[in-house]
Amino acid sequence: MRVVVADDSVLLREGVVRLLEESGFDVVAQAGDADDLLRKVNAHKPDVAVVDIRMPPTNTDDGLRAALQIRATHPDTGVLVLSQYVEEGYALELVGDAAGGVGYLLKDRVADVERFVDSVKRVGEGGSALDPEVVAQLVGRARREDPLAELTPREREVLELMAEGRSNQAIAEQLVITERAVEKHVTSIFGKLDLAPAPEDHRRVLAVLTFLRA
Amino acid sequence: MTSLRRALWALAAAGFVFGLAVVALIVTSDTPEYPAAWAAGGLAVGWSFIGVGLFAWGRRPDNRVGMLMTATGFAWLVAGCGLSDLPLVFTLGQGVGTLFFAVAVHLLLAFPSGQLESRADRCIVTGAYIVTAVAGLALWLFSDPRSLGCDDCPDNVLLVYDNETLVNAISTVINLIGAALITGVVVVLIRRWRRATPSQRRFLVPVYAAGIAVGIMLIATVALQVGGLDDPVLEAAWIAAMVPLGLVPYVFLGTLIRARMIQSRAVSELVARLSGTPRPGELRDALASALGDESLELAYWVPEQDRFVDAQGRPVELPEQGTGRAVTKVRREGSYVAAIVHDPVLDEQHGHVEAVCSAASLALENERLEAELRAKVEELRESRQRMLRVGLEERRRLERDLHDGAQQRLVSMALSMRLARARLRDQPEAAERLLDGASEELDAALDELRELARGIHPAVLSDRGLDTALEALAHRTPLPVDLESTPGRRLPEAVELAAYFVVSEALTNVVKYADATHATVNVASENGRVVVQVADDGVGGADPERGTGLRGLADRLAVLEGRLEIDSPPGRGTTVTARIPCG
Repeated sequence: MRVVVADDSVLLREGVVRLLEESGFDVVAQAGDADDLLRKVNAHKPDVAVVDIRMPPTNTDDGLRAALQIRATHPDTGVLVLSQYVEEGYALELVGDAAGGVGYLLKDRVADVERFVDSVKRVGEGGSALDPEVVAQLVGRARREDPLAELTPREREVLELMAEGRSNQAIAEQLVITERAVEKHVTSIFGKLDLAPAPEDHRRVLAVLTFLRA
Repeated sequence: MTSLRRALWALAAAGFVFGLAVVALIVTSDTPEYPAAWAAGGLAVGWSFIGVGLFAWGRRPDNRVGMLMTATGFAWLVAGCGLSDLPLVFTLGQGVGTLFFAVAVHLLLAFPSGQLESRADRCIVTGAYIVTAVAGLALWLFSDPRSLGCDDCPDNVLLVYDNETLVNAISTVINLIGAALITGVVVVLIRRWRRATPSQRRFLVPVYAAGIAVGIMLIATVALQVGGLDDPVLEAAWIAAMVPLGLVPYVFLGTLIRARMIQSRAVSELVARLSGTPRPGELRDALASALGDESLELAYWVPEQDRFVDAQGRPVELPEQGTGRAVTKVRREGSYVAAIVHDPVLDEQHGHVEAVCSAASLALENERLEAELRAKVEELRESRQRMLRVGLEERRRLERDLHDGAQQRLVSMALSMRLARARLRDQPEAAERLLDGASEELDAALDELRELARGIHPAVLSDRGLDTALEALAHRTPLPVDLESTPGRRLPEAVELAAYFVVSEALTNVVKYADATHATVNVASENGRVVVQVADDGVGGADPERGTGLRGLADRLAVLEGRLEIDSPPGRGTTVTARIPCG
């Protein structure tokens, strides 16, 4: 899988590159700012771009803007944005109306190599990866009439993992239950929240996010 | 002609006719020894009081002095009827005529304001009315003037039962009460003189003159009663006592006219003094001498702070009513300029105070601007000091948070890593556990650092502006928050930051103290300023002085010339409103 890594901190960038290469990714280019990133994505058309949100030239959310542009102009390139902060607003903006090939993770997640690599792979394959913190914030929002209150604790866990973009298989592994049980929970959740069933993982993410952000 | 004016003219006519009628009654009467002198003196006194009283009434309808003076005149004429030899008129005059003393005492104690200011005043006046009316009439139920030694007197038509012992008893009681009331009047007047300022004393002179005149009259009356109604010498003394009494209204009038002359001179002097550039403090001195009140103080209005300050810009509390000081607020072009804190006696010279105020209003406005500037500087200085203190506290808190949180975790992590390294070969499982622990500590440290950084400056605010930052804030709050309106555009960074912290601090307070079910946030930019409002439906009763949070917010806003208002009636929620000027 071909990857472009963009981060203005050389130390972190090198770290991420080494980690990805050790895990079998092909890092085709590195970028130090948003413009550089756009150029390299244009040139290499990678499967996935790993992008730090805070980058030159303005050192605000240039990375996010670049990511949105990549998503608009290169639909085949997945974008995984790394952020110092949990801002659900950014995550939702990034996802927009298509949850395929997109991810938003806290920067410290790179320390958990296995899960980070899994997320990069998922985004590169057209899936999605949302940080558990972001999902927790979305789920934890105070609501006037909260339909989430009807969910059982187990269903809540399943909902959160679904929102992160995990497949049924991954959810089953995480919760140490059978895939069959996960499917039953998913059906029940969709029923309780009055959502139309969505077969593909990334469509399911979008449905759940649309529900949560309302 | 107004209805008041018509009524006054009618009273004047009534007084004129009544006076002539009394003269006719006295002149044709057999009772008095010197009917002509009685008639002349009585008429002079009665008309003087009525005439001067009506004049004063017309000039100052809101002040009761004129009315009381008129009433005194009429009461006097009624008393004059007591000299008639027609039984009905005689009885009426003798029985009701003593009311004159009560009305006169009322007038004395009510001058110059027309109001009875103290409880003692009211007691004395009420007592005087009761004694003269009720007791006087009661006395006449039992006394036959002929058995009291007045052989020329006509019949007492009220007489029900002639009993000298009873009459003597009632007289003694009336005289004792009368003596007590007179003592009371004397004490009140002396106390008043002692407490009076020089400008107030100016108004007390006629009161004392009148007091002495009425006193002489009273002594003459009592002497006549004690000595028998017929004694020609005492009758002559009585007639002589009418002379000072007749002069009383003119003394009152003279005081009023003199006061007016002094006032108009004072205003022209004031205008002359203020034509140059007044030195600091000179304006106060000029006003003090123009109003004849050395105790006068000035306070200036600062609209932004919504309060009065002194010339140095320090906040001033204006005295409440009934504290022995009065306040006159000076307006210019519809808005407050200053407040003059003065002796309440000046309230009696309303027109004069107004004239002085308008003569000085430009000078007052100039001094007000200076005081406003000082007040602003003063507030800025205070707020800067508080900011400094808040800043230091904030840094200490940050240091503590870093030291107790992330730093401890990193130290413990370093330790775990060393231990793990030592066990790597011999006890790989223990090493693994140590490393797991270390990475948990690391995660926690990163979380804490992230929260700290957000508290210092939320990144999303500078990235995306207030709208997005407030949305995130609302979502993070563990309580439903309706974000009703946001500015919808970027504002200057300092304004955005201040508005953000107002909402953040207010929501934190709602969660901590308000026991609310939800909160609403409104941020609107209008007329060159941003209005931030956070309202909840909680318990209310928030104290703006409580804690450093709101105080710190007020200081943060003060730097931008913004203001913070907290409306928190108990049981009806809390609304925090910040107004921040914004280009």
